[in-house]
Amino acid sequence: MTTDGRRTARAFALSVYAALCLLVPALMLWVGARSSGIDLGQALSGSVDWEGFRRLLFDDGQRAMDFRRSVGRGVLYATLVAALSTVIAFSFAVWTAHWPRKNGVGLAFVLLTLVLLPQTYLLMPGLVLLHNMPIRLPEWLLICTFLFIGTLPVAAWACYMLATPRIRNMQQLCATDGTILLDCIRRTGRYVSVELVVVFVLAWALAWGNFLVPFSLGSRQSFPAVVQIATFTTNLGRDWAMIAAASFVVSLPGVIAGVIVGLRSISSKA
Amino acid sequence: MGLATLQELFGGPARLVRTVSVVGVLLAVLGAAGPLLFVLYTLVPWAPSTSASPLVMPWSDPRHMQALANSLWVAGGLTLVLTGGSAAIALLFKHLALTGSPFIYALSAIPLLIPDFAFGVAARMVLDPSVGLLGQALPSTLLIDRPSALLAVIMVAALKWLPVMTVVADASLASIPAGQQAQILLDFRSFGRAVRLAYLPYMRGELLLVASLSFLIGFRQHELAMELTAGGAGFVAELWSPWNHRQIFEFARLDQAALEALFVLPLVLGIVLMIKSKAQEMLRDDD
Repeated sequence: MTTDGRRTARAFALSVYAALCLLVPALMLWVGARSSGIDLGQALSGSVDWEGFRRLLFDDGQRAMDFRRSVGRGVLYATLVAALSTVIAFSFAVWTAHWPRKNGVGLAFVLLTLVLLPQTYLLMPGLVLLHNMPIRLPEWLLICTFLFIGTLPVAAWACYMLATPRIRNMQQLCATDGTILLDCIRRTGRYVSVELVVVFVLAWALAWGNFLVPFSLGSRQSFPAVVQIATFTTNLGRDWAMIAAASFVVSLPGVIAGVIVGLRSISSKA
Repeated sequence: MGLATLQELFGGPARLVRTVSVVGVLLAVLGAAGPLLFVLYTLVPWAPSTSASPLVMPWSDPRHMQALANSLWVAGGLTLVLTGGSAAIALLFKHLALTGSPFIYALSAIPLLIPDFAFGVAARMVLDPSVGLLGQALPSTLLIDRPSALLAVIMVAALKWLPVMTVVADASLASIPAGQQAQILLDFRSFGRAVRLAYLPYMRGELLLVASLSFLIGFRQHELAMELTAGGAGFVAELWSPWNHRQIFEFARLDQAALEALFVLPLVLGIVLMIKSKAQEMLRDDD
């Protein structure tokens, strides 16, 4: 293959790959920008008037207002869960930094795999507890607790994989300096702050996008945005423009998180 | 040389870090051990019954077995698509000298972080026979018949997970030391022979990991499949996780759901153990 031919093939491969990765958010943006309609095909033949997004963001209707509230709620849940998950994941990485690497990675992989079990496994012990609790916990607390249990293993895995070598170096340095543990943890936290941001973003995006836990344990008053999308249904059928616009809004943090994680990987390569 | 533990480095205060971490690990394990705990709980004499009807053995309930078979089909199909697809794309990138490209890694993180539900909605917009963009061009029973509905779930789930699996496969090729890489180029004039005799054997460990993770990801499919197929006509394409969820929330059969989850757990844990042993084997030389 000539140099020009190779360059063209490379550009073509990258374009196809980018299209594959961005297909879903692009489709949502495209559909959400069109006129609304029960028949999606007909609706899409209309003009681009951003009706779905306009109604979603500015309409006084009950569903649009519920969605806007649910975005704030979802942000709150995801931030709480991601903060706690990052702290414990950091603690896990500090604890296991001096283990033989195969043991640490083995445990981290088991944690990752637990997240990949069907989510009904996670819901069951919680429901047993709920059945037998003398007091009824607020729904937001319940949802956050279960989102946290579901997100923690991924955060612990990611933190271990990304930060362990640097944590190990810093701990050796602290031990040589005679620094006390609390100061050492503070110094280590600053030293691996970029990795911790990546872990936080990943945990945030996972908690934000979880559908089943809030859907199963919450109600309309406590649903985050991702669940609220399922309510955009009228007597005539689904409101596709609103669903697409809402799905795009819900996907946006993932796309932004992807860009942050990507930029981080680019800067670490450089 | 052995590494000093946190306790050896910092003494007593390290206990707090250990306690926090152990609590985290226990929470994660408890999440997965839920069904077992619940079944044990139902055996104690003072436990209140959660449902009026008696327990049915998981293997004698045809709907449960069909849902299990469907999930195993999706898991198997996704394993094939993701393993073969990620290896093929990683090798193509290798051929085009794109291995290890940060741009590719940045792009690959995006689909992973988009909710499954949004993927289900997007797929429905395209594939739904009545309203979908390609609805007119596709068979009207696409999301209703069992084989085509399951195939649709596999393809849409693959769209979400293929990029991240490609990164895993690509990273294995990127980790070939420069000297070894130069030797491969010298030894094999044809790229095809290099793939067969050098690259694929080198990727074996990572591809096994991709296969194991893909199997678990396929088996746990829930909201994407529910949104896309709604279980097919007469629940012929219902997957195990939605069925288990239905047992809990629709039929209020928490004990039955726990028993079925317990029945399935050895299969899932078998995969967990495989991943763990593979990861440890891959890292044996690191210590």
